[in-house]
Amino acid sequence: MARIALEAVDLGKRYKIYGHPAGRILEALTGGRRAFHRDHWALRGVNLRLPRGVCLGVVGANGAGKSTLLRLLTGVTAPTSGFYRIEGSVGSLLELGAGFHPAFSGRDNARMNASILGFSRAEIEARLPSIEAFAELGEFFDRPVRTYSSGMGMRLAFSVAAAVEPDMLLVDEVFAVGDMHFQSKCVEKIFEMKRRGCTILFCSHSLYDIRQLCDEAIWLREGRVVEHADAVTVTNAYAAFERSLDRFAVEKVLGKIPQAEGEGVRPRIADARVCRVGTEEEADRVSPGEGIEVRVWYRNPDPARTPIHVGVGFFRNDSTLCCADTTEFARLEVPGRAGCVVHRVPRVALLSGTFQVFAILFDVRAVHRYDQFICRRPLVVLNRGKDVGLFLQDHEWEVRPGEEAPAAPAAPSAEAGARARP
Amino acid sequence: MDTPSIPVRTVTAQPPGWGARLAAAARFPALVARHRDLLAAFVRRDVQARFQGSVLGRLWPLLQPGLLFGLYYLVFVSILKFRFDEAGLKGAQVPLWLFLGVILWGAFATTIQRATVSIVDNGNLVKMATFPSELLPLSIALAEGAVFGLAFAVYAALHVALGLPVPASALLLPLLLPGLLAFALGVSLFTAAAHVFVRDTANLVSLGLTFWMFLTPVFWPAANLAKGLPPTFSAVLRENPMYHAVEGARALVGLYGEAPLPWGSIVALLAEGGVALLLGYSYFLGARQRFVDEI
Repeated sequence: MARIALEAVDLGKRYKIYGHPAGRILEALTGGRRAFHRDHWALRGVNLRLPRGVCLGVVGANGAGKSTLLRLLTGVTAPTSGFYRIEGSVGSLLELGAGFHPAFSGRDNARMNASILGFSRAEIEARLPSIEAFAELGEFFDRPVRTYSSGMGMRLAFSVAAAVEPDMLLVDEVFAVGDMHFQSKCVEKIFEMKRRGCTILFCSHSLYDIRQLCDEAIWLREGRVVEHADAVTVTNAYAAFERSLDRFAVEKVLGKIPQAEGEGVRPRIADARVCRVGTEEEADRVSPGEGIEVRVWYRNPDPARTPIHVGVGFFRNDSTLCCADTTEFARLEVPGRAGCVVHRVPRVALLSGTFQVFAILFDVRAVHRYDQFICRRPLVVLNRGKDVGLFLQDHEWEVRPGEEAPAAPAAPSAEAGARARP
Repeated sequence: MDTPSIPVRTVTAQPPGWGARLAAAARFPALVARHRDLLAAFVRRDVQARFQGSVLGRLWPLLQPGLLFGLYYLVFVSILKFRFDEAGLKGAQVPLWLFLGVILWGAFATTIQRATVSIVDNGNLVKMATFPSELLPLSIALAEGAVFGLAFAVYAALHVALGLPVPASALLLPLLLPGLLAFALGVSLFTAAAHVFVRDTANLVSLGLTFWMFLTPVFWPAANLAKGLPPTFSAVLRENPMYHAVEGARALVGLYGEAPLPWGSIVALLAEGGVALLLGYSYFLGARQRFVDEI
C-alpha cells in the first residue's frame, strides 16, 4: 500500500472578526468572558487521506475555504480544530510575492528561499542555473523583485518551488497571471513532479486543468467538503451546481424582445415545466443522453385576433443562450383558447451546468412577445464523462496515419480580392 | 521502511505550551547559526539602504555623529558653559558624556522602533511558512549595532583628540554588548508581535521611548538621582537596563575618572537582558502562528 503523505482529521479554521480594533483589547481585559467578535469558520470538519504521489484538485466558489486549506497545510497558520500530519517537505505557491524580499534580486531571493528550506550553500549554487533557466527572466533575474511584473514574480516563485523538489506541492490559483507559454511549462513541470512521486494539492477555478492534472478532487462549499471523489465526478458535480443562473439576468435578456402592442385580454402562459419523456415526473437533474420534455400550457382568449407561437429555450449561468426554437420556425400552428405545447428533447446534449428553461409566447410573426415564463426549477445537467464545454456535439473520430495535407490553395491575388467585392 | 529520514510534521490546534516555547527559545543560537547567511544579507541590505543614493554615501555614518558632537560642543561648552559638578564633569567632558549617552540610547531606541513594525512591514516574507521571522528584529538590531559601532569610532577619535585619558577598562566595553543586544531584542520581539494584533503598538512604543529616554540618565547625571526623588522611585530608575548600559559605558571609558569598575551594571544588564529575551521570545513564539491571520 502506498504511504500516506497527508492525513487531516476534523481540520477547522476559525477567524475572529472584530467590529472594532478595540474589541480585541476589551476582550483581553474581560478575560474572554465577553465576546467582542463574531466567528467565521473558513474551514470546518475537513478529513483527508492522501497517498503519496496523488494529485488532489480543490474546487469551490470564492471564499469556500480553498486558500485557507492550503495555507493551513503549509503551516503558515495554525488550525483551530483537528490536526493534520504531513510526511515530507512541503513547497507552496500560494500568494504572489509570498516569501520574497522586494529589495533583493531574483537570484538573492532564490538563494534565500532555498536556504530557508534547509539547503546548503553548495546545493543552492548547484540549483541556481536551473532556476534561472526555467524562470526565463533574462537580466531581470539580477534586478530587485519589486521591479517585477506579477507574471515575472510567478515565474520566479514557480521555478524556485520546482527546483527545491518538495515531497508535496501546494498550488493555489497562480497560473492565471502567467502567459500561455509559461503556463504550459508549469503544467509539464507538475506532471514531471507527479511522476517523481510528489504529492500535489492543486486549487483552481479552471475545471479543465483540474481534470487534466488531478486524480482526485474535493469540492469545498462554505468551508466543508461536500464531495470527494475522482476529479471528473467532482468537477462535473461542481459545474452542475455552481453554474446557477440568476433569474433576473434571464428576465433581462428576454426583456429585450419587444413587447407586442395591443389592448384588451392578451395571451398568457399558464404554466411550464420540464418532465422526463412521457412521465409526470419533473426532471430537475438529468444526464446527457436522457430524454426530457418541456411542456408549456397556454391560454389565448381571442385566437382569431391574436394568433400565437410558442418558443422554448435554455440559458446557462453566464447568460449564454444555449438553444431556443419556436413553433414558428417549425411552421406549426398553435390553435385554440388553451392547450399545451410539448418541446421534446429525446437526448439531452447539454453538458454539466445549471440551466434556466424558459418559454415565450410570440405573436404570429414570432417577433413580438405577449408573455414569458421561466420554469420554477432550474434544470441541472450532470455529466458523467470527461467532455467539457457547453454541449456534446454528435461526432466521430477517424485517424489516417501518413496522410499529407492537400496543397494549400493559392493565396487570393489582389485581383481576385477586388473581384470578390461587389 | 524505504526512506526513514522523511520528516513528519504533525500540526494540531494546540498552540505551543510554555515548555515547548522555552525549548524553542533555547534553540535560538542554533537558529541564528543556521541562517547566518540570510541574516548577513539582511543586515548588509539594511545598512546599505540607509545611505544608498546619497552623495556622501558611506561618509554619513561618520559625518552624522561628528556634526552632532560639534553641535553639543557649541551649545553646552561654548554658549551654556555647562558643568556637572556632581558627576565631576567639566569642559570637553560634558559634550563627550552627552554624546556617548545619546548614541547608545539612539541605537537602542531606533532598534525598538524599527523592529516593532518589522513583522507587519515584511508580510510577504512572514507568509512563507518556514521563514524564521525572528530574524527580522534581530537583523535590525545588528544593523543598528553596526551603525552604533561607527558612531562609537567617532566618539573614540574625539575622546583621544580632546586629550582625555584612555583607561584600560575601556577594553571591557564589549562586555556590555551581549546584555544590551539581548535586552533590545527581547523588547523588540514582544513589541513586533504585539503590533501585528494591535496596530496602536508602534505609536505607544514611540511615546514610551520618549518617556524612557528622559527617565534614563542620558541628559542628566545619575548622581542627581540621589537628591530630590523619593528613594523607591530612584531605586526603580536604577534598575532600568538602559541605566546600566549608559552609565556602565561612561564609567568604562573613563568619563568618571578613577571610579571603580561598574561590575554591578555589567552583570545586571546581562541578567535583565537574558530575562527580557526569554520572555519576549516566548511571547513571540506563542503568537507567531496567528501572524498570517492578521497580516
